[in-house]
Amino acid sequence: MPAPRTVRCPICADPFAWPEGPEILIKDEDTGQYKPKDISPLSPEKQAFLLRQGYLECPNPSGDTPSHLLPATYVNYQDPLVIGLVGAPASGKTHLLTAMIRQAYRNGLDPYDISTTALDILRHDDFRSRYIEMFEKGAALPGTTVGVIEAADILLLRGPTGERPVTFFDVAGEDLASTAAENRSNRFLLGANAVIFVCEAEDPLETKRLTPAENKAFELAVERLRSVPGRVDQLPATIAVTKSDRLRYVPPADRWLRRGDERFVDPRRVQRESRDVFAYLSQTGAAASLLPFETFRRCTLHFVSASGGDAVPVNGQDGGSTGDGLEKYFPRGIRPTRVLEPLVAILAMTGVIPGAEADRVGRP
Amino acid sequence: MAELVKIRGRNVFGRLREIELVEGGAYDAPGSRLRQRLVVVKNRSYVYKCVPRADGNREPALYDMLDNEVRAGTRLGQVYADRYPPELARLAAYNVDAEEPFVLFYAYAGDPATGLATRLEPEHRRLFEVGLLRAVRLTAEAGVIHGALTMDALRWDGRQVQLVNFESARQVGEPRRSGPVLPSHSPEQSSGSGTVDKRDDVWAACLIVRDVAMGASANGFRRDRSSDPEWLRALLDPVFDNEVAHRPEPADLLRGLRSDVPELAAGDPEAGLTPGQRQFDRISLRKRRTTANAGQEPANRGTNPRWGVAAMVVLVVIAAVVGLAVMFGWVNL
Amino acid sequence: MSTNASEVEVLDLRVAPGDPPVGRFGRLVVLDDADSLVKHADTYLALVSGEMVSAVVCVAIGEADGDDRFGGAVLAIPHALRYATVLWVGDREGVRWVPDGSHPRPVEADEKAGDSLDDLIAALRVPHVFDRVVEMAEGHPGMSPAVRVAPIAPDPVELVDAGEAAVQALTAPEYGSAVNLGPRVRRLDSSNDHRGNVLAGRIHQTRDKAVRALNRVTELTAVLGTGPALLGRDRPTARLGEEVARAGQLAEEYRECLALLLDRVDGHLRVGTPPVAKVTELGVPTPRAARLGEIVPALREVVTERLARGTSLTTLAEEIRLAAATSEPQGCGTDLAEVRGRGPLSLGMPAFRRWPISRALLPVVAVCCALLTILLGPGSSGWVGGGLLAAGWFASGLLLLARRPGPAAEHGLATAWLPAVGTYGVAAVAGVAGGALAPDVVLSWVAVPELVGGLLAVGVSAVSAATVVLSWRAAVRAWSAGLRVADVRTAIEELTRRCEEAVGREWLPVRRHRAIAATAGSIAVAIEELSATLGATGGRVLAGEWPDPPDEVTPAVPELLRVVHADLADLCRAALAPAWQAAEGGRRLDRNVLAKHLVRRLGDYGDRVRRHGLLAAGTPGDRRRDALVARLWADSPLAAVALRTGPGTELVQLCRGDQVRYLSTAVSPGLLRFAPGRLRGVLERSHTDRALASDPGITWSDGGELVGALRLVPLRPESVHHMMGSR
Repeated sequence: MPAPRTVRCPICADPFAWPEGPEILIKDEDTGQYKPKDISPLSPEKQAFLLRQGYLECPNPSGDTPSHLLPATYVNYQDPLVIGLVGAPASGKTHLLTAMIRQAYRNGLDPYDISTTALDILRHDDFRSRYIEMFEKGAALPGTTVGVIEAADILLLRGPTGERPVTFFDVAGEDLASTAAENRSNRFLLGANAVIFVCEAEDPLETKRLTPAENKAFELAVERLRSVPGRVDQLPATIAVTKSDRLRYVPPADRWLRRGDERFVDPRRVQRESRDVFAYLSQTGAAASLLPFETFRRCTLHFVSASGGDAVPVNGQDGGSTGDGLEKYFPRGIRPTRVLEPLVAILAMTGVIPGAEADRVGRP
Repeated sequence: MAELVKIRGRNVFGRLREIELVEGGAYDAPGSRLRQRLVVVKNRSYVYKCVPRADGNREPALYDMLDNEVRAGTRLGQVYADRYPPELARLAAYNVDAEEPFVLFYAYAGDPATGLATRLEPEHRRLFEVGLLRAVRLTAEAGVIHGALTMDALRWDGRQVQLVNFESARQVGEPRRSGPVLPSHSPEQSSGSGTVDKRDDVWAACLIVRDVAMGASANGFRRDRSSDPEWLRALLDPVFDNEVAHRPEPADLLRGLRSDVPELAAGDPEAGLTPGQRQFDRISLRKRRTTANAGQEPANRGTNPRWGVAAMVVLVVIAAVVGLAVMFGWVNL
Repeated sequence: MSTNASEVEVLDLRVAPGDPPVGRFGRLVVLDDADSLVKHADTYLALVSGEMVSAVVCVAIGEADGDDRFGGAVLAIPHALRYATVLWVGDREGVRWVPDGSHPRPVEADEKAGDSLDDLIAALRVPHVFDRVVEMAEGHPGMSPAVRVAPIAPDPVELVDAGEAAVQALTAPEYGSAVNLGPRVRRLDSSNDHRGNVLAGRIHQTRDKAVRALNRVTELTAVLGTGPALLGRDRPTARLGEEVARAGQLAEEYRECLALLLDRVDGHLRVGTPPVAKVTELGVPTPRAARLGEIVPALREVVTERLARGTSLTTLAEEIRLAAATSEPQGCGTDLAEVRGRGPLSLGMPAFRRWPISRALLPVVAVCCALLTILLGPGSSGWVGGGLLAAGWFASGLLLLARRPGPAAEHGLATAWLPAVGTYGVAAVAGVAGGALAPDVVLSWVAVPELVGGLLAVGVSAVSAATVVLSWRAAVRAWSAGLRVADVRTAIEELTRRCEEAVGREWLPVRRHRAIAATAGSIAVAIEELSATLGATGGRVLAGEWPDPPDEVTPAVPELLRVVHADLADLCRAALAPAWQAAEGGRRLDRNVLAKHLVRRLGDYGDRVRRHGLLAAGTPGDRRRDALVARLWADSPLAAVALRTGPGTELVQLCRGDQVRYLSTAVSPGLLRFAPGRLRGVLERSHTDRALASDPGITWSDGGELVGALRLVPLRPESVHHMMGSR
């Protein structure tokens, strides 16, 4: 009998041995409770069907997370690709993540022969109703709640190299900035296969600062990852400049945003964009945001716009509120631009998108 | 006293500012599809062009026109910065994310040139022609093509021309769009083929030059140019008889009008990026060196060592073959 | 209210009996009720005694009241009207009647009441008819009229439509029909233009220098093949290279000078700089003054001609604008480009033959020397003779080598020595040596009598000399052929001609061109103003009111349209007069001056047409109106019937059937047939109705638009009662 496979829980970030027992948890539609069920006596077809809907409970080794379930099929695929999003508070991580997942479900990865489905239907439904639908309504999303780290959604990417679950961690900026040595953010970070560093194109009028502040979230994340030998040489990273729509008429962002979504992998183009983003950040004095590029050996930089425009206060007044909880909204709806480019770069750098061209992405 | 309204808008470099304006009254200048009115900011008059929600719902293309206008205005503002030429309308602020997206221009100079071709005094015609070509040169050199250059897009204050209404503007190098065909469009623009050329506006400008020179709407009445004055034919034949690649540039036409062609005060909006780009290159180089030294990078296996191995193999094979041949073939012989 | 003495005035005392009859003059038709005549006696007295009133025709309508009936009289006439013409209209409707005693018949139902009275008044308004009626009524106390008229005038509605159509035609652009007046207008007042040689001063001197230098080169080349060229002190070979280079340089200087001139001319013509003085200082005359007195009338002729051809005002304005643009100074960019493109001019110095005496002739040199040595030998005489010939050959070769013209000067002896020794010297010495040492066998071959030998020796010497001379000449010819003096000369001539043409075409008449352009420009503006004004009337010129322009114009009778079109075009042409005056005086006309002119003229025209009719508003020789009359005549059979009325024709007599008894049967009735004079001309050209034209019974009126017949039957004397005064 083979040794049980060790996986890292996408919820608590603890590694644990995947139980190989015949019991899975099935949600009772009437009570809403999960009940154990032994599926071994059933036919293989029935087993496969129930497995798609079944869950296993994470043993929760650290015990610092409420008990949580994982899809029973989580382990049936290649090792999950765990992508962490790091960024300062209100840097637009949630919007970027929402827009990115939305675009992926809308066949945005088709040009790369990758299709996207939800691995955990219940989790996906929850994410859809809490984020995607609000986002599609043109409503600005609230920031990630401080202290909560969770795999927002688990995608299943089917591509030329097989089927691979992908989970994202939208890490609350405040949480990561906390210097508490043993918080879960750090655990997640160390367990990630790739990191998207998110910084925003700042408006001094809103930040009340003439030059960008130091980027503590980036510094801490980089510091944590550096502490593991060889990690920064292996781990693919990207820097996404969100809210780039603010720069839609300013070079060099204008020419990249005008291009819209790309249709193929071109390492030279990625290199050019990275160079432009780097130069832009450097020009605006956001040197702290460039730390990941200097640190990680494979690192790309991208201009992205999750919503396509700035949110404005409802009724034209800050703090105004409508009945459905919207405080800000996008008057002209959402027009995500180039939100998949960081993900595509990571997929190329992690081999999910195969090929010689993809292999060169992010290399210096 | 009119009410003070606070709005937020970005300047040509994308910086968000708070603007306090007072309504300045209706403004009815020809050639604009966008709604426009006058506003006053700090005792200075501005043209406010916007797309109210209702207009945008009815005609979504208005948003594109506003986008074109802002894009051209910011580009020109970035290129000419503090040496902005009076021949071009100057963008002061914009906000395309607002409930009512808008663009704010410094008040235009003079009066609309609509119908001016027949009214212009002979002594002013050349001034007008030169001013027009200067304006076209300034936009073209900044990589902006107006795209709908007619008398409606020009202002005239008796001495100087100003080019306004960039609602159909494009940037040089973009693919041409197949949109509504205007009588002022060149054959290439009409067919919507190829990429936008810096000489795309020259065609329309020369139609205007012809109208002004002849003091009439030559375009409508006399498409046949055979009876045009000799100097005009000499000036315009190279424009109308050639494909865009062989058409003269505005500077050539200015010389043809015996006007001086001063150096442009154009700056490079991306000059500030150069230090960052250099730093990027330095870091990339450092990473490559580190990788090469560590020898960890499988992708960057280096080309020279592999060629060396291949050469060694080939040499060994050749040596072996020659050796064998000598040993067996020649010995046997 | 003022009236024209040539008109007939109508005064209706029935509607305005209280009107004081002041200010009346000329012919007067007075309408009155028959029973009011006596009541209005004072009025009549005032009228007939008015000095300005030439004649009065009183139309008395109805019957006098019973009280006024004196002995069965139907009409009571006040004394004031005793000598006036009184037409009695017993009944407005009238009866159909022939004054031959037959019974009157009632009028047809479709002949509306009142029409006949209106017809009568319309006929009386024609001055000729009025006069004839007065004539015919003389001696009769009262006459009963019978009338039949047919209008020979355009339908009023059609007339208004024609006005609209004409205005549209005059103000609409006629795409494709514009004529290029440019070349014609540009040449206005150009008959005295100077052509040909116009370059003088500095530019002429430069040209002279270049031509003289070329002539010098030609002269030097011509003498190059002669002896003095080789031997004289002042040898051309010494200076030829220098002269050629100089000629080329002067030619180029001239071309540059022409380019400078054309550049200045072009600059001045196109943008006004440099000033005239900077152009004339190069040697061209000052531009001639413009003669507005010649230009303006000539342009006016062009405009008048175009308007007469029916060109619309819009088109004409475009044509004149184009003419103005074409008449402006055009500059001479093409000529300038040509002159610049021909540069730089230079006269290349072709290379002279390296060996004036070809090296192929070296055997000849040797043979000649050997032969002479043998012929004059043996012994010292032989080698001395041969030696002399050898020296000659060598000296010639050396000389020719030294005299070859080079790029700067001749090559000279210093450089020629070595080649001469190495070629001609060696060959000649070898020949002499060969002759002196020739074996006997050879000598025996050439053993000739002494005399023959002498002759041969002379011959050999002559051949040698000839070879030298011919060689030099051939070398000179070959060199001359490579010298492109003629090409440079042609270039100079062509450039000169081109420049002179440009100066003659553009520079000298620049002031005239500017004046023409300014005049034509101002006239184009003026025509546009007229066009706009005419268009703004909306074509309702003939409707008496000018609302918005109509959307569509009803097609009008072509002849009618042509008349109105021509009339309006004439009005516009006349309205242009202030613009021409201003142009001639070099003044600029204020806006709206012409518009006001035109509006006034249009108003007058409309009034005239409404008052007298369209046909009257023309001149006798107006062929368009004649054509319209012909058309109206052809379309109006009633007119022919009216004109053919005879004494026995049944007409509508303006009385009731029972009133016929008041009419006299003793006196034969008078018949008056009348028609507009313009119709006469038309009938004269007609095949069918020519006889009418010469009918002496027809009165041809000057104006009027009525054709008709009027029969006047006198009242019996007892039917009229003359009153001595008012009661």
